[in-house]
Amino acid sequence: MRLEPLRYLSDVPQYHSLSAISQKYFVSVQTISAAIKSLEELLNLTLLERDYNGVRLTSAGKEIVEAVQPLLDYADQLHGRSEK
Amino acid sequence: MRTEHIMYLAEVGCLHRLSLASKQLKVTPQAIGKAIQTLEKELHTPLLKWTASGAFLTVEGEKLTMLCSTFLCQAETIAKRYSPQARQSQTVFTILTNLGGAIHQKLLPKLILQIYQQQPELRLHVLPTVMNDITAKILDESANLALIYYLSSIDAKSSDELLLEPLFPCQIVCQTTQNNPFALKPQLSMQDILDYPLIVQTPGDFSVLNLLPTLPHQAAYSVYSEAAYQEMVRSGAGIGLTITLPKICCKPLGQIIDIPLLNGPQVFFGCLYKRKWQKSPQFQLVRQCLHLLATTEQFPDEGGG
Repeated sequence: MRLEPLRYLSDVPQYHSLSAISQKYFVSVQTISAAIKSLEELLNLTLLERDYNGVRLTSAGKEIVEAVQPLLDYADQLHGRSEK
Repeated sequence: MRTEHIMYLAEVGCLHRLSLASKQLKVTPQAIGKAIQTLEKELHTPLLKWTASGAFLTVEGEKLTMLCSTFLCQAETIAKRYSPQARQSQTVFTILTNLGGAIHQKLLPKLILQIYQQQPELRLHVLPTVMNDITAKILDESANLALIYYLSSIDAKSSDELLLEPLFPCQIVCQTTQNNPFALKPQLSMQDILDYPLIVQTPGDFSVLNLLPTLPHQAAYSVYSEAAYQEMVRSGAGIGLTITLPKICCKPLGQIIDIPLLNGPQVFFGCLYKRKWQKSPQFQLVRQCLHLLATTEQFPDEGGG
């Protein structure tokens, strides 16, 4: 399982937009969309849903993000990132 | 970065040899070595330290592998929980109950055990005591079933949709005074309940409908064991009123009757449920368990265990 789509997902509550997330990571919206779709297929879960405000996490998506957050945070810490 | 690569790292850290990890993972040592190198490069951190005794995780490597395996376990659990099969089995059955009665204290754990033995995947919620006069409303809006032994009034609008099923063709002893030895013990302990047989005999010459309006509306009515009741009477500290159930509850066990709209309080012990739930499999199961408990010799007259 790749961590990148999980990282994109973790930004959904803040940005509510795949386009905004794509700008943050300098990748295309299609890349993000495809990565999340692959993750959904891998886990057999719907993680993202669209509403009139853009996108938001499903209940399962929220739980997955909550579960992966410590790992992402630690990877960021090791990498020395300062954005988060 | 991939979780698989972090788990390669964990395997090497555990077995201390690339070759052993390679056999275990069925991945070439080169692929494992490359994956770990990529991880270290991405994170700008050494994750393994190489010694004469083999490879060991660094502090960072240990924490990373621990966080990763925790996440993978959680993700698996979440995926299972949200799977279509799991969702189908997560039917919630809500039981509304007056928790004040000894019968409930005794019946509920057994009922829950019975149900879980027969259908472990059924999720049960037990709602605690409610004000008697809104029992019907809550049942209408959120619960599937109410186990009740006293109901002061029923909302006429919703009662048409409710059915009452008497469980015990029995009589109830109500505590009506404050000066009895059990006043300090309004709730019998589980041991008290297990120690004494419940339910006393009564001449049955009280009219419930005449009697209840004289009792304090908010009084705590408790079902006592026969021994407890006799002790209460013997001590002279209070008067335990023995109240017969209304005629509607003395019908044969298991018979379902419509709730009559009476002016004033009614007393009974039974289960109250929505008419539309009558044929649901969940309700059938709960009802079956209730009947089993109600007809078993160990309940309500058992003396122990």
